[in-house]
Amino acid sequence: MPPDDAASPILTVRHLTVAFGPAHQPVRAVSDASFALAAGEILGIAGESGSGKTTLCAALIRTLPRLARTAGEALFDGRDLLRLSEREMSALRGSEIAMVLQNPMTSLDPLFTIGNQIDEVRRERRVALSAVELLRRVHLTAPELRLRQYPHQLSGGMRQRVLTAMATAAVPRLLIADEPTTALDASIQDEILLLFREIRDTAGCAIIIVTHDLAAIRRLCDRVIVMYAGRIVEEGPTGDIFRTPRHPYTRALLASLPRFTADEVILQAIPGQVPNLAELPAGCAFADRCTLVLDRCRREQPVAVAAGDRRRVFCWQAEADT
Amino acid sequence: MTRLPAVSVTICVLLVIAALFGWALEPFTPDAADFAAVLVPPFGLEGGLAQHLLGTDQLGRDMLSRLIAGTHISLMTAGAAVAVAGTIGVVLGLIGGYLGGLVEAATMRLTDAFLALPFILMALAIVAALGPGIGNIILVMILTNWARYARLVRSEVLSIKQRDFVLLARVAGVRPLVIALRHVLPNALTSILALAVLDVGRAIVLESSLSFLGLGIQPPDVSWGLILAEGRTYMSVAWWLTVWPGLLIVLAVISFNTVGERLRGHFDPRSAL
Amino acid sequence: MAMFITRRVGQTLVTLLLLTLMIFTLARLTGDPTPLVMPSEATDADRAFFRQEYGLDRPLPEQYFLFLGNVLHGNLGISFRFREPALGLVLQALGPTMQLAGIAMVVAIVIGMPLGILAAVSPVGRLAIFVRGYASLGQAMPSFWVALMLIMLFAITLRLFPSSGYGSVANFVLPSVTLGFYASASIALLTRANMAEALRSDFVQMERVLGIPWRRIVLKHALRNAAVPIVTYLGLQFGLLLSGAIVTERVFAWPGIGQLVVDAILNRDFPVVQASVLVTAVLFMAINLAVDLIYAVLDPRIRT
Repeated sequence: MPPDDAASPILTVRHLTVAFGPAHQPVRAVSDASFALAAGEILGIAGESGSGKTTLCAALIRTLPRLARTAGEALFDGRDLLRLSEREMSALRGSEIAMVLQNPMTSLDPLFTIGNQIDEVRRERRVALSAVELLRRVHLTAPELRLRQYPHQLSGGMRQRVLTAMATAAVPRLLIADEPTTALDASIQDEILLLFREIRDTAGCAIIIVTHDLAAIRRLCDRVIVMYAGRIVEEGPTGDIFRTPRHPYTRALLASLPRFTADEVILQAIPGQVPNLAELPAGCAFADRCTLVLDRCRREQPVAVAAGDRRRVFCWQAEADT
Repeated sequence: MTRLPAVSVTICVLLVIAALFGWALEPFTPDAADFAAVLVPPFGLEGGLAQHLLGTDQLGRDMLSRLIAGTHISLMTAGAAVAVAGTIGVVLGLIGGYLGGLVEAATMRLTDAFLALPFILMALAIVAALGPGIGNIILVMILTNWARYARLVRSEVLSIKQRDFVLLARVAGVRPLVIALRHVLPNALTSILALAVLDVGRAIVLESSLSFLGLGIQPPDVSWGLILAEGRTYMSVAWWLTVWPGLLIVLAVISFNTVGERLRGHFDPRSAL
Repeated sequence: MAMFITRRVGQTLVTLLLLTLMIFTLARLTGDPTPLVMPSEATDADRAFFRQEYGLDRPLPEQYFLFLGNVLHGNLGISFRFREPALGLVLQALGPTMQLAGIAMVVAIVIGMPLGILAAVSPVGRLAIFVRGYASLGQAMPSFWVALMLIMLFAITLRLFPSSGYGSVANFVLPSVTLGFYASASIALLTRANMAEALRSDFVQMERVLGIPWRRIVLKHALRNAAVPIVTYLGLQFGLLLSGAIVTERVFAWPGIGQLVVDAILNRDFPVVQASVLVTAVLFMAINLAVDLIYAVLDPRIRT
């Protein structure tokens, strides 16, 4: 069930910026990102590689390398995640905030059995449910057998379920999934997406799904955020965004989804390249590739424009249209 | 090319120069005994003499001259051994890797066998059979070292053999020898070079160990290990007899090792510090 | 698993065979031992008899098989010098050498592994630089020089430990530290490299994100994963220690194989040299084989 709008958000991110490298020429992986996540909401973060979506998540759960410089705030339960000590953060991870990383194939320790690793999490987080029950919750077949097996004996989809089981063992309030279906076969992808929906429906967990797979977002997410070159360019309910995208990049992205007709497959790429994150222009980063570009776009960074019911778009063209 | 550590390279170069031209710099003849100046401490200490900067040994022979002469023999021996071992190993590795099949299997068994034996043991066995002396020492070092080059080159050959441009060349009728020399060798060159430089360090240690045991370089030839062995008896009264040659060995080995490690780090970043 | 064992054992046997061939060739290269063994007043008939007794008049390949047969029966010849079976002498000397190598191994692990782990966990800073320098030095210093320097410092100047001999606990200290020093440098380097790689792996990141305490991640997960190649190396290292012991034993007059072998060479007592090399090499290969099998036990990916 989509969440109740009136409830206060579980996560509020304001002006989050993540930079690496030398101070005079920083690489801004994320610039001025702001959004809110309601309890029980499924939010999709869409964008190409290098758009900053993974860095954003790493910043929230505080696994960025030491050299990264973070600015802004991320309020969870009134506490700023970016300001907590490592010990406080460590207590949150795996209990209130959980994350499933990319690469299910390599995210489990190859030398220990599945059972051993699940029990480790159970002990650490004082989970009452047994390991078998946790595996059943994620619909893993033959759970008793799996407990005795090693990761290399399981397929990618099975490992993804195990990882999800481990991440959700302590019933987190927020679950972040980074490219959960990318490394999996097409036939399994759908099942994993349904699994996430089930987790939200039964536990009321808010979920952030980071992916470049727009079809997955359409299937699963209540709202979507589109990122480009480290910035949020558009945000809104999934259905609205897919029906009437307002930002030129979103439009181009949706247009580039392969379309199948009776005779042929139509592929339409976006001409140009993502700018170098160390040399971002003063204005809109998409200006060079935008078909609707205005003079103003190159000079000034677009600001948020309300574009309908709970929608925002960062585009001068869109502002001109309203 | 990687930036090589300046200090280590300088030291290596200096040592090589000393090895080649040092004889011109020796203040005294290395084996000239002078019973009037026996066990003289290094210059600067009580009893030290200006003309014997690093002191003299129990026969009055000048330490500095002996050390320079030792540099010549120790480095030349190590260099010759590494050069020949490297050549043999590379050739065998190329042949085995490229021809494949039975030849490769046989070469690999041979390589494994040689690599499976601890080198000092083999060295001792060979010295026992053939006797000590500079020629046999070089032979010993060649026999104990060639296998590593063979294994390295063989794995390079295997990885390159699969690549498309090699298949294309073969289809085009290029002779295997040409393929081997023109394509495989240049790619493997850095790693072979890295191995060789590191090997010089190992060879120096091996030679000095054998000479120390009396099984290596024989008098009147001079080597660092031999100087150490001779000075051992007088260790309690004349520390300079054992400290200088040891320091030289350590300095040489560290320098060669540092350069070699940097070269190796260039082609296999994971093993670099 | 059975396939794996069979293959490894097979490899070892082939290598052993090549080893015996090499020893045999070397032995024959030393020339006809008859003049060395027979007293000078022996007659031609005596010499002929000796040759026949030892099969020296047979063609070479036949001699090789005789030799091989003898080896398998444990007959590695009679020492020219001591007139006793060479194998017996070697086995007697094996004890002290193994003890020395064992203690040195412990010293090396106790020093080397913690240094490596610490350097991997905090890669920048003074500790890492120290470990790097220590490792460099350890690998460059020949063991006999370390031995001499230690003797000069601790035995002669400070008079804390004896400079030679065998028997008391104090006798063990300097030799095992000498031997252990070189090994600890290699172990520290290897541990650091493997731990650093393990700490970069995806499952370590995942465990962090799951909230598992860092200490447990380092000591249980990263170390276990890094341990596999380290254990293999430890086995190899033990073999290297055995041979490194040879030089160290000479310096400390330790009654082990090292002393035995070098004495034998200087006295042209080839049967003893032959027996020492064979026994040590077999031991070395057996250790390597055992380590490979342990590897299979530790890493389930190999056996399943």
